[in-house]
Amino acid sequence: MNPTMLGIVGIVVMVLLFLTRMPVAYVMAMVGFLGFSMLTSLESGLNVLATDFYEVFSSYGLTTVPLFILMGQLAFSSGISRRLYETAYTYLGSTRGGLAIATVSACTAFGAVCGSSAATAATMATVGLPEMKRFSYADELATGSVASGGGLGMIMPPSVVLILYGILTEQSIGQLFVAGILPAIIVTVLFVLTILIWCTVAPDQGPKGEAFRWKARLKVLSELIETIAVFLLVMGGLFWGLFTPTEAAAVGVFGVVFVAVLRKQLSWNGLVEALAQTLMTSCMVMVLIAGAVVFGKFLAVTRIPFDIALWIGGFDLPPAIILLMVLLVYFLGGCFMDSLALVMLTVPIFYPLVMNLGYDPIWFGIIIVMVTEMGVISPPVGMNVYVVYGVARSISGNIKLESIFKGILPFMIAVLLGIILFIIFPQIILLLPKLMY
Amino acid sequence: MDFFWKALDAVADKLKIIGALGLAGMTVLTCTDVVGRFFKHPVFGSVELVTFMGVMAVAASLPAVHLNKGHIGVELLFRFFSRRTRAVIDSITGVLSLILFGLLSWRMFDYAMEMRASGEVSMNLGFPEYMLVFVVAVCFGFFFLAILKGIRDSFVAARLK
Repeated sequence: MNPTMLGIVGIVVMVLLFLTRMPVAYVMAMVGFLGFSMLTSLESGLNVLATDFYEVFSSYGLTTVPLFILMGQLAFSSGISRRLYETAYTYLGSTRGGLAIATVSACTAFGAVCGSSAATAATMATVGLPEMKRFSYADELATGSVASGGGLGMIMPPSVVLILYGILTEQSIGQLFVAGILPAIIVTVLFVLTILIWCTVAPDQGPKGEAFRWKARLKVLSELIETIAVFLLVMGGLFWGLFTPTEAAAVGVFGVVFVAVLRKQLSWNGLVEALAQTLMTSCMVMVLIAGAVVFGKFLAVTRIPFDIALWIGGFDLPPAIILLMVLLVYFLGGCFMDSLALVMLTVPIFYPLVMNLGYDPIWFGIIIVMVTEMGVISPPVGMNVYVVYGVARSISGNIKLESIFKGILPFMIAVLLGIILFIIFPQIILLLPKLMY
Repeated sequence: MDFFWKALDAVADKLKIIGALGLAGMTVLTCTDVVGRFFKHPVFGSVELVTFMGVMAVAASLPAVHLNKGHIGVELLFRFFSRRTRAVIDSITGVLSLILFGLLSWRMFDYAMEMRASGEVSMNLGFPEYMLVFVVAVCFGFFFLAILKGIRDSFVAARLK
């Protein structure tokens, strides 16, 4: 069997094994190891397996992953998310659909200290859903805004997916982070517009909440200062080259702990829980990376990424059409797979192709994160949807999964509009990196 | 036999504590280094130490993450199967995982021995790196046992009516 054919068989076997619920990381490592061994020798395959896992575990660049995850977990444990929501609620709650607007705004703000989409969705669902239920918001609007808003945590830096993309493609994590800021803000604005249109068409679905006096509003504004301070410390240090990404993450952890201790809002149990959760997520991510690295070695030997690039190049299609086809693969993949796993699996295949077409690597990173963000809220898998479903059921008991998917649809259209906007005007994404670097 | 599985759970929990210490250590050391650098006194070898602690944090969590089903899998088709079919599939994929990580554990020990023989040390601190690889291999050994426990649980589930 020639290498390309073996590569295709490997990919098919991998997809079949995915359907057995075998962990994605194990499947990639296994298929990668077997394929590599068949194309070289068993001895080489075994060597690649052991050395790749050890090299991933002992990569200084990847130490940034657990530290940024810890920062988000501590922000959750110390109640930063709740305070952000309360601040947004005080300002926006009294308008029609205001609680949903407060939720997506708080999601973006929380995304500034948390790098995970599911964590942002879970956090904001816990905080926002009971309030929206209290004010008789429609289930579709309440759950749809939380699940979609959670996806903003993935674009707003720091973002674990962007870190991995940066490491895989050898792009500056700092530049990727800066590039994510404007798109995250623009998508937030699009979400807000979506909610406003929704509540104009169906006013009873998002009734007005409490109105607060300006004195109360000014008082809660101070709640934002700590998040802004931590965000500026982390991002500022990265932008001005004061910190490496690992150092920025560690300083961010320290900043969040400092704020939490100052406010007496971090208990010993909270700290232990944050550490335990961080270890679980980090270990999962690192094994996933190691699996993807082994699989990537196999793919490189099969030359499939280059063959795909040549094959698609042979059609003589305009680059924009090829890009749309690639993005379609990401979108469909995102419907079935977790975004991290999808990026790890597909970037080695599609990155060389897209670079051949002349697109900017930083721009492409943000675009694929946005497309996979659509995946995490779309049926049938949509991880955020299940996260919100779990929280919503514990709050109101009788919520239907269909209601959440229905509620997500308008927000998906908003994300899609955002993606189209960023494809037509790539300068929006590249503006900040060009200004700062 | 139950004692063995309980002991494995206990070891996984203890390893997690080591992992948590590694994680906390990474944060403290990195921050100390940043502050020290500001005063022109960086911590010598901090990058190496942070990397070592990162290795410990991840490797020590391996058994616990598997035992808690912390890895991402695609649930799409799986939920349509009966409980027994699911248990049978879990057993088969468990055996595949066991073989893969059994080989990996064995090769990791070999890799540690190779490093020991070559006398490889870290660049700044001169730390013999084989020790770290050896610790990773031991963690993979417990990970292997955790997979074995998962297979045993699947077998039990498959036999239940």
